[in-house]
Formats: sequence, structure tokens, C-alpha cells
Amino acid sequence: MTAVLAGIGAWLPPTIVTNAELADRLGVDDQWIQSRTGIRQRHVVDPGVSTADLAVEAGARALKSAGLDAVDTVLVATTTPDHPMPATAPGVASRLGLGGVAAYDLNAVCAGFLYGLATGAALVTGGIAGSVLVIGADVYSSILDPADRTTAPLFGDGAGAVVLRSGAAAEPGALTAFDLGSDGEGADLITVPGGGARQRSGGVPADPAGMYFTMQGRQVFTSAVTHMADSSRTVLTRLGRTAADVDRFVGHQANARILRAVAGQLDVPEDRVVMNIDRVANTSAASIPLALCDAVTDGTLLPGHFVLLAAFGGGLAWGATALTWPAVTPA
Amino acid sequence: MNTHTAVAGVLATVSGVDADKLGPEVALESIGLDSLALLEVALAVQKDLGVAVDDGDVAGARTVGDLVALVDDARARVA
Repeated sequence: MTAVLAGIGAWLPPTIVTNAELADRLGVDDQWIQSRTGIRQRHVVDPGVSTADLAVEAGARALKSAGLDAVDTVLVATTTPDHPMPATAPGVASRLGLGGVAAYDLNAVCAGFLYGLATGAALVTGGIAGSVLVIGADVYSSILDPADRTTAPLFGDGAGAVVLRSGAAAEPGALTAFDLGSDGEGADLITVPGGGARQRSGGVPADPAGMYFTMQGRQVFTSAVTHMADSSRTVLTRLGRTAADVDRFVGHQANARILRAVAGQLDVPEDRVVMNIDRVANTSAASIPLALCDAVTDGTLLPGHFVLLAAFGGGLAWGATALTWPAVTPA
Repeated sequence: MNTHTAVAGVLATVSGVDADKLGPEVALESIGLDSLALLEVALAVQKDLGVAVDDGDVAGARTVGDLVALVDDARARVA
């Protein structure tokens, strides 16, 4: 048995914040943000809207795209769960009318969707689930320091999802090779330091600043490029393919310059690099399904294309996979 | 390949300035390279020449000559 991608959907909250709107508050200009990141705008939730709300919208669209009204498992990759406990996925499953199925969250930060895809594929391949809804959803606007110009412009809110079903390895959409990795030595490079047991057990009241997202940009840049490129090479080798076979490269949309540098390391021509970061910024676990949806919708990604996916995020954690794109369109 | 020629080639690609105008004394800031561009240069050098240059050292480079010296050091360590 092999897991096959059978449906895809995404959802962005309607409110858009442009660079110009952030620029005044942060003391930077639009061009400063664009030249360093490739980002022009991001979508953000309205007050009271949270991760599960976005996950339900994306999940419903992926189910519709797959032509299914039920799956055996719902997996939500997120680092901004609605609550520390319980997991976000059971509530999402219930709201999708899937109450009773296995549902759990997975935290691999910006590599969460790739890890979710691997885990969902393994459930199908192992015979534990006949079909899996894998959702990547994040509301980073809830963890950003609005006054920190090194992080506030970088992220947007959003959700994306795919449906995996059981099928054959020779089918388009078959997920037959993954490479996943991590390096806890780099745990401090991307972190929300407060709010967890480490801080709470210390008996010291939480430092409000510790509730915000922090990132060491320089180290992350180099590490992201190196690990995404190495992981991509590994997965291509496992599939008996080379970078020359890659029709489209859909990487985690963290920074346009990281994506170009990864493509440069792999010798994948820039016109094969899918980017929507200019419109949505970094949506963490949602970024790859959001980019896939955009690429299908605008005709950049076509059935039969050999598409390479790679991601990198806090943990540190990274991963890659590749598949032949199936005749699947967002609902 | 001579290290200066190799580094100037990478810098030319990243900055859009002709390689033959990138003498050792040219300030990296003067050709429009920001801090991320230096990391991009380091990654490209690593790929083209097969030597690893430390991120922190690269961030401290001020001129084309500084970068060439860093790459020469890295090449000497590999040799």
C-alpha cells in the first residue's frame, strides 16, 4: 500500500496587512522588508479567530477537493495551537463532521507540514488508516512581538491541507520517499522561550517578553539553505532521480532569498521555483500546501510535473519529499 | 581557479557588478551587498569551490580582499 495525494485546499483570513502599514510602526520602509524577504503583504486573523478556525476552512476544502466526506485520521501540524491542551485536531475533526476519528497535533514548527505528510503517509502505508487529512495551520500573529522589526514583518496567518488515500506506488500523487531530520543543538535559534514547563517549573513568574517568537536570522539562513538542499538531494537519490528532473520546487516559504539559494545549491533553474511569499509571508506549517494551491490555481503546477517539496524550521527540524503531481485541484 | 577570480565571479552574480571591477580594495557595502547577500556569497563559494567559510567570519568581511582571504584560509585548511 502507498499513500497517494488525493485532495488539496487552503484558507487565508481575509484581512491583509501591507508592508507600508507595518513600516511606520517598526521604523523600516517597504523596500527594506521586500529586499530582505521578498514579502509585500501578509494575511492576519481578526480578533478572536484562531488556528482551529483556519484549519477547519482548509480541511473542508481539501475534503471537497478529494471528493470525500470522511477520513480515518485528522492530523494538525501547528506551533500555535488554540490551547496548550487539548490538541487542536480533535475539535477540528468534530467541526468537520468527522467526530470519532483519530485526531492529534504535531509540532515540527515550519517543517510541520512535511512531517505531517510523512506521518500521514506512514499511517496509510502501515495499514493504520485508509485515508488521512493532513492540515498545516498557524496563527503567528498571536506570538509575534509587534515592536520587533526583525520578526514582525516575516509572518502571516493561514492554513493548508491535503487528503491522503491508499493507492499504488506507480500512481501520480504517490508519496514513496521522505527524508526527515533534526538538530536540537540549534533549539535556541528559533523559539518561544516562555509558557512551557521549563519556565513554569522554575517558580518565577513569566516574563511577558518570553511569550514572543524569537529567531537568530543569520544562523537560520545558512542552516535552512544547507539542510533543505541536503535533504532534497537525499530524497531525489532515494527516488532514483536528479535535480534536473525537478519541474517545480515548492519549498517552505520563509524567505525568497532562502528559496533562491536552495535552488542555486541544487542547480534547479529559478523559473521552476514556486513562490507566493510576496502575498502571504511565512505561514509556518501552512506554507507548502498554500503555495501548492496557488501554483495549481495559476497554472504553474500541472498534472505530471515532478515536484520537490522541502522545509526547514525550529527544532531545528527539516525534511523533503517529491512526487508526480496528480490531477488534483483546490476546492 | 585563482581564489580572487572565483570569489569575484560569485560576487558579480549576487551583486550584478562586473567581476573585473571587483578589485581587492572594493568595499562590499559599496556594491550594494547587505548582510544576507554575504551569506548567499558564502553558500555559493562553498558550492563552487567545495570549501566551508564560517558565517560569523563572513559577516565581518568589509572588502572583496577580506572575503578572498577567508576563502584562502578555508582552502589552506582543506589542503
